[in-house]
This record gives sequence, structure tokens and C-alpha cells, in this order.
Amino acid sequence: MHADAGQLSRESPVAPPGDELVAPTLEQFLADIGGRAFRFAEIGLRQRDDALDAVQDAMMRMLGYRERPEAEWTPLFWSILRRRIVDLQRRRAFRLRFLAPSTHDDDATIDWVDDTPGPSRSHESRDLCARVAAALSALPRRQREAFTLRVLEELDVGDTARAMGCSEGSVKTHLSRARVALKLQLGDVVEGGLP
Amino acid sequence: MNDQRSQRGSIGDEGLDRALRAIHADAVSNLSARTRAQLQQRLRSATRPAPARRHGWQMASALVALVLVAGAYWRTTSLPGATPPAAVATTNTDSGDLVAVIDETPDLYLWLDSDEATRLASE
Repeated sequence: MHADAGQLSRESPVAPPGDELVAPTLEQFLADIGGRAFRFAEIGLRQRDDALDAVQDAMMRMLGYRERPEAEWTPLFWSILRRRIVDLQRRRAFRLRFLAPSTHDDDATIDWVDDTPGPSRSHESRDLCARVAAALSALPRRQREAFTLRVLEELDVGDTARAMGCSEGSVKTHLSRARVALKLQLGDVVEGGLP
Repeated sequence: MNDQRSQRGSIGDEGLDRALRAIHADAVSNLSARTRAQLQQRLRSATRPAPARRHGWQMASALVALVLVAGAYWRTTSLPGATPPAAVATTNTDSGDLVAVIDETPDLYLWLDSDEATRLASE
């Protein structure tokens, strides 16, 4: 499976002969953004398989917009993924409320590499990332989206507003509130320095 | 509460953003091999529709077209009741048959040629 992944990575920049359905640049864009999209979905859904499903759905829907200019891809993709996550959250809430209240089990840990050298450092990094992910998950959805897109993904205010489907003023408001909450939650992490 | 406020005030936005951005980058670069492989596999399946699925749509379209053509053919050839109205209409407008009808009931034309009909017309 891992070998297949490596092969795909090498093949991604060049389209296979005769395959004119997908522009290579869009495929490369999706390959590059996949890991970050997964983390975004993982924080929102707190469930690995749901996060993978959300990312795959967003990628498939993104292909329908392949004619759009490349400059629009980033806010468009995050907008699609964000809406997909909201859909899954609502579906899950319905399932919890009416169908299977006892079967839900949020995955408290985050997905993490298991074969890096220096297990102690990896363990510290994992704990730190899990703590940040938990703090982001605890934020109200709009605040989490604003902080993740604007700060972690480094979109400008306009693109963040387009991805969130709101005004730039709303983005700034959500972002400001998110920062206040995160400083309270993670002040020691920030003051203690980076891992 | 006062501790929280002082802590919040001592951390700048830029410091918070920079620290969390670095932690996030660390998280993205430390995805498990299983998740990376699944992401790439899902990307591949998303960007390249399976040939079987494409052929399936083609087969279904061809089947629907075949059924429509067969249905239309069967309707025009196997339903004798569908054609008689046209045949009747054709029969009624045929001049030979009209002559035959007149020949069978000549009373109207005999009356039209009578004096009574001429008088009525002049009144």
C-alpha cells in the first residue's frame, strides 16, 4: 500500500497518456493539500475515517470546478471541505440523537506517524499537537474555521471570507474571539516555546 | 481569573499564531503512513473514474436506446388497432367511395333537382 502511494506521488505531476479528464495541475494541487485537509477535517470531526471521507468527497467535488482559474482553487476547496464537514457533523448529530446514542466514540487521539526516530521527542510532539487539536475542536465552529484557515493555512482575509461564506468583518470577529480562547487554553504552550 | 487575564495579555497575537502554525506544520508532516497511503489512494480514485463505471454508463445508455427503439417498432407493427382510424379517414375522403355512397342514396340529389327545391331556394 505504501509502495502504491510512493508510485502515485511520482506519477502525479504528469498525466497518464490519453487521460485528459483532469488537468495535472489540479491533481497536483489536491495531492499537495491532502494532508492539511485531513488535519482540518480531523479537528472538525474528531474521527479519522470520517475525516478521510470528507477529504475524498471534497476532492471529487473539486474536480467539477476544474475550469475555474487556479487562483480560485484554494478558497474553493476549503469552502467545499468546510461544507462537507458540516454535513457530516449534522448527520452524526442526527445519528447520535435518534439512532445509536451509545455507539458513538470520538477518537480522542490524533493520527500520528509511528516510525520516526527518537520516540520520546515524537511522543512529546504528538501530545502537543493533540492538545492543540483538542483546543481547536473545543472552539465554536466558526471561530475554529476562521483561525484554521486564516492563521494555520495562511489564507488572506478575502480568501478566508470566501471559504467561510461570510464577510471579511465576520472573519476578523471570529478570529479575534478564537485567539482569546486559544490564549486561555494554550498560553503555557505558547510561552513555553516550541517543541 | 486575574492570572488568566494577565496570561492572555502577555501573549501577543503574532506569538500565538507563530507557535500554533509551527505545531500545525509538525502535525501535518507527521501523518501516519496508513493515512498518507489512504489519502493518496482516495485521491487517485477521485481523480480517475474507474473504467468499469464508464463502461457501465455506456452499456446502460445503449440498453435504454435499444429498448426505446424496440418499443417504437413493436407499437407500429404489432398493434393493428392503432392504424384503423387513419384507414377509415382515408376511406372517407376517397373520391371513389364517395361516389359509391351517393349511388346508394340518390334521394337527396333527386329532391335537389325537383321543382320544390327550386321554389324553396327562390323564396
